[in-house]
Formats: sequence, structure tokens, C-alpha cells
Amino acid sequence: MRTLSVLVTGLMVALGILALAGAATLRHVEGEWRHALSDRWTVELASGEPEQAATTLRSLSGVADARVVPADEIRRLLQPWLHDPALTAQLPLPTLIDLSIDRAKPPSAAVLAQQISAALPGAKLDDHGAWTRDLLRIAEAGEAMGLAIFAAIALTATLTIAATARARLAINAQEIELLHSLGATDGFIARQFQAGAFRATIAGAVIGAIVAGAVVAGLIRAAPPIIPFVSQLRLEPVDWAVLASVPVGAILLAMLVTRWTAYSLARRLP
Amino acid sequence: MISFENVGFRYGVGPEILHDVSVSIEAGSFHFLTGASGAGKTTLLNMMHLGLRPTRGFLSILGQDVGTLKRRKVPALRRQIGMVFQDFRLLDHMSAFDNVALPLRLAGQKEREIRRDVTAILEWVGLGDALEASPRALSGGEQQRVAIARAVVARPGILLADEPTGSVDEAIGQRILRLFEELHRLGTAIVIATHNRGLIERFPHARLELTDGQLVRLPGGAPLR
Repeated sequence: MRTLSVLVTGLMVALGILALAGAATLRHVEGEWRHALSDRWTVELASGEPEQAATTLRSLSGVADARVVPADEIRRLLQPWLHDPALTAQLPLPTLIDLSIDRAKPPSAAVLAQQISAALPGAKLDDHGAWTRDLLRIAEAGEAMGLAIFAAIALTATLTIAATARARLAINAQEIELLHSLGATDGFIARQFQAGAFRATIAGAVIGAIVAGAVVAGLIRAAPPIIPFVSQLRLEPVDWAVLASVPVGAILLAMLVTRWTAYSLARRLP
Repeated sequence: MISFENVGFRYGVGPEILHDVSVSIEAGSFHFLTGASGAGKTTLLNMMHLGLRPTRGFLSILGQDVGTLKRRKVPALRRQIGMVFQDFRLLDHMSAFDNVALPLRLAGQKEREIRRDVTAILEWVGLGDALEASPRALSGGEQQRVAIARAVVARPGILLADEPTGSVDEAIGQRILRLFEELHRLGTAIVIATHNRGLIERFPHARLELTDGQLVRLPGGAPLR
């Protein structure tokens, strides 16, 4: 029974930490995307001299900088989709200018689009809103899923602890009845089992926390920088503090649920 | 100490097992509780031990009306009543010492005092050299004496015993009864449920006889039916 409790607690704590760590990491990824994409817009020119157009764009309110995207860079961006370098070399490429938006006074995309149309006829502004919104929504959904998994694990843990406590109480029914008949209060009986739950849970919680913590740290350190605009996965100190609270919470939960279960069973005795 | 007035008892919606029981058990008294098997001796003892409440009538234990007694007040009252169970109810994973120490630990007594009192009571029942023995390593008679030591270690005002000699031979049975008489001399009210004819004849104390669910008090030495 004790080994089972250690294993179950360890698994629950480890899964809880992994789910929360995943949610926290996605929240940071989403934040970095939001930050990176909110101040990088693109203008596609229909005609005209690119450098001159860039100079014009730099003069507009809310634009911190404008940079003509070299053709090689555009080809490199297309390469993953078209695969064939010869094909990308032959393609007629659009003229693109990257705008860096002034974070201090970011312009409205609609207003800036009007100004650009007036200054550079035929030019189109893309604030990446359409796809960044989808991307952010995916990240938010991932984060919500991580939190939902954590909630499901917490609920499962609560039910498992209650079932374990009931099993332990059933095994010790004779002892409970004896204590009761000798004049033990319901609280005294509940405390005995609460102390037992503490001893059974602490080992599992510590082992689960160490294993999951090592996995999270290892994944963050080893993850290749493959996510666009995100240099590295990371967790802030506050995230680590939240993760550290998971085993503590599991121990408290086990003690409370066991105490409540023992108390409610003891109350049924005459 | 214990007062029954027209007490009746039934389990659930079943027939009434005890009818109009009226008896008063005074401080320092000694009673055998006799009756045929199934007469309700254990039920009556359980009522005295607060394990069952009357379904009608009035029961008072140590000045408390059991009918209106709040559940939270039961443990403290129960700690003033020692009970020797027919099946001993010793915990095998504890030593004889720890089994006997249970009532004192429940009462929150200091460990130093517990050591002193438990050692003394186990010596009193002749088990001074078996303090750390597991109940499984003890004979039936020794287990019975550990159970008695546990029942009396907290110096209860009332001692109830359910067939305390049921699983021991005559010699040990007499030794156990002499222990009860010593307690009786110290002022404890004693009620022993038994159908051990030899014991009742050898120790002529007053008898409470249950017949057909009704209780009759008989003087010591009254002939057994």
C-alpha cells in the first residue's frame, strides 16, 4: 500500500509539474511572438525604387525604421517551401520592405496603410495580423490545454488519494473501532491517518518533483531553437516557484483529503 | 453510576431485545451479568459502554443522560469506562506495553507517566516481563490479562467485561476474577457478563440476570437457573 502511494504520488506530481511547465513555456513563447511580431510589419511595393520608398516610409509617423529585404533573403525564406533552388532563382520576387514600428507610439495599421497608399501608390501594408492572431490563438490554446491537464491531474490525484485513504481505513477498520471504543475522538483518529498519509506522500512527492524538474530543465536546455522568433525556451524564477509548489500542494492535499476521509468515516461510528 | 429506567432496545426495525430494563449500578458495586446465549448481555454491556443508545426509556451513565448526550462528549465519557472485550481486541502490530498505553495516550498523558503506570499495571497482572512482547507471542490467558490491564490502566470508575474468562482455563479465570475483586476493593464498579457457572458460585457477587429481554437483580449466592 505504501509503495503504491509513493508511486502514484510521484507520478501525479511529475505529470502535474510537466503540464504546468508546458503551459508556462507556451505562455513565454506566445509573449515573445506577440512582442516580436507586433513591431515588424512588411510593405510590398508595386513599383518604384526600393531604397527611395524605404526613405519615404521612415518619414511616416510611427515607423522607427524601414529596411529593404534583399532578394537573397526572400529566396532563402521561400526555399523551405519550394525546395528547388533553381526554381526560386527563376521566380519573379516581390519587393519587400521591413518596417520596424516605433514601440513608444505604435501607429494604427489602417491609418499607416492609408499614408503608405498615398505616398507609394500600389504599395500594400501587411501587419501580419491575420496569421499572427491564429498563431497566438494556437499558443493560447496550448497553454490552456496544459492548465486543463494540470486540473485533471489534480482532480485525479484527489480522487486517488481519497480511494487510497478509504482502502487504508478499511484495512485498519479494526484498529479504528478499537481506538473509538477506547474513547478516541474523531479528530484523533483522523490525525493518525493524516500522519500516515504525510509519510507515504512525502517520498513520492520529492521523487516526482526531482524527476520532473530534471526533465523540464533538460528539455529547456536541449531544445533546438526551431521556433520562429523564439531564441530559446525558458521559465522565469516565478514559474520555477510555482512548479516547486506542486509537491508541497500534493502533500497538503493528501493530508487534507485523508483527514477528511478518515474524519467522515470515524463519524459513522456510534 | 449507571441507571436504567424502563429502557427498551431494538436493532433497526427488528423485535425489541430488551424490555423495560430498570436497574441502578452503584459506585463500587460488583455484578455478574448472566443469561442464556443471545439473551442480550452483550447488547446491555454495549449500552453501558455508549456503543448503543436505548430506543426508549432513560439511561444515565456517570451523571450524563445518554439519550441527549452530544456525540462530541461521548469520547471523554467513554474514557471513564474500562471495557474488556470478549475477543480481547489487542493490536498485533503493537507490543503489550503499547496496547496497554493506548487509553493513556488517548487521554494525553505524558510519556514518563505512561511508562510508570503501564509498567506497574502489567506487573500487577503478572506480565511485568512481557512489556515488549507482541500479543501474538502471548498465550490466550496472557492476552486476556493484557486486555484487562488496558481496560483498567486509566483507573476507570466503571469496568465492564464481556465473558472475560471465556477463552481461558479455570485457574486463569479465577486469577482474573481476583484481579477484578482487587479493583472492586479500590472502588471501581464492575459488571462482568459471563455464563461461567463455577466462577459465579466461587465469587458470590450480586447478579443481573437477563431472561426473555428482561433484567432481574438477584442477590449474591442466588441459585443459577
